[in-house]
Amino acid sequence: MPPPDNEYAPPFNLAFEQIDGNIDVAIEKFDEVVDNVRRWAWMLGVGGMWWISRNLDDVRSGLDTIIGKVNYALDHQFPVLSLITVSFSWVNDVKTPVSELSFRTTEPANENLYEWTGAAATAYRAKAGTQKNAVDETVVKSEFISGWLFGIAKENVAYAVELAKIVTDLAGKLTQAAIDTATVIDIPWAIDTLAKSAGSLVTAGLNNLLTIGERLIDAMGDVRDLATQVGDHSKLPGGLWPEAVRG
Amino acid sequence: MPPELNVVLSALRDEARKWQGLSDSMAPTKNTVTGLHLGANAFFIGEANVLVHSGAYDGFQAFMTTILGGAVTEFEQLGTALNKIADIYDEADEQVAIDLNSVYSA
Repeated sequence: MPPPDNEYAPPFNLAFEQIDGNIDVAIEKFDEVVDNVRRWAWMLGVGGMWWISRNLDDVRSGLDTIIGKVNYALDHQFPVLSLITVSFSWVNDVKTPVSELSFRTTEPANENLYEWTGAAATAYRAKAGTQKNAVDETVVKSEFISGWLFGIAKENVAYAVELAKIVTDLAGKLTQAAIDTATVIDIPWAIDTLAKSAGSLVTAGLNNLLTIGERLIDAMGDVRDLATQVGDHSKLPGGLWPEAVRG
Repeated sequence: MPPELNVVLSALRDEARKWQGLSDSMAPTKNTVTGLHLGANAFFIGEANVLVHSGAYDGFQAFMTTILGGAVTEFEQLGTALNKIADIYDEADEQVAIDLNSVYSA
């Protein structure tokens, strides 16, 4: 059984709320760190400022990379949300109602239909059987496509959750650095801590995002799997619904 | 009219109605599938080339739309064929041999 609708959409949306809120915090706190450093530049000296600028440039470049990922993700949030909805729709609005028709195809509406004999009756029963097979095949194909989309939805949720974690952690480090750089005596230590921690969290986070991207491609599988579903005509001759009636 | 024929005729008419009902039930599902479109940007919030998979999904969705549209038509026509058979029996007053090619064609 596929998971209920609320297994994917709520954590996905929650992750985006965190991303949206914390990326603003991260940017604001980075600017605050820069302001703090500038305020004390006269005390930090040329050498000190050179060292600080170099470290802050690294932090900024990491932050810029993450902002790029965030903007790309935000642009795709609603389209991917529609993929989540569509994956459930294949089950709830296609597979379930179609599967409910299966039994009725071969079950006579009136038991007295069994009194009907002869070639026309035999032909009819064969046709009803073919229609049932086609109905059942449609159920199998709907199940297949929803499973395929669930796999994709799952990795998108994982990606959003990981991106939210990176952004939240980064916002935390920058918030701490903004506090620590308020006093000049702590600036060199605070910048050193920030550069190291932000650098390693961005590197690790990007690696995780890359892994999730690879998993998503794996989940999509070979594009031929989808083509095979379309091309399997054993119960749907010529890729069409079997004709009960010619023309 | 022989009583057995009456029984068969009403069973055939009920069966015809069943298929028309099945056709009516399939129609909204077909419309649903028509609406299950996904743009190429709907597959991943990260960066990856998913164009080929997005295209394959489009093909699958189009295929299912055709299939279900076919079901709506065939169910309806099967109902009509059963009514035709009932009409022939009714006319002849017995379960006569039927030219199946003429009955099972629209």
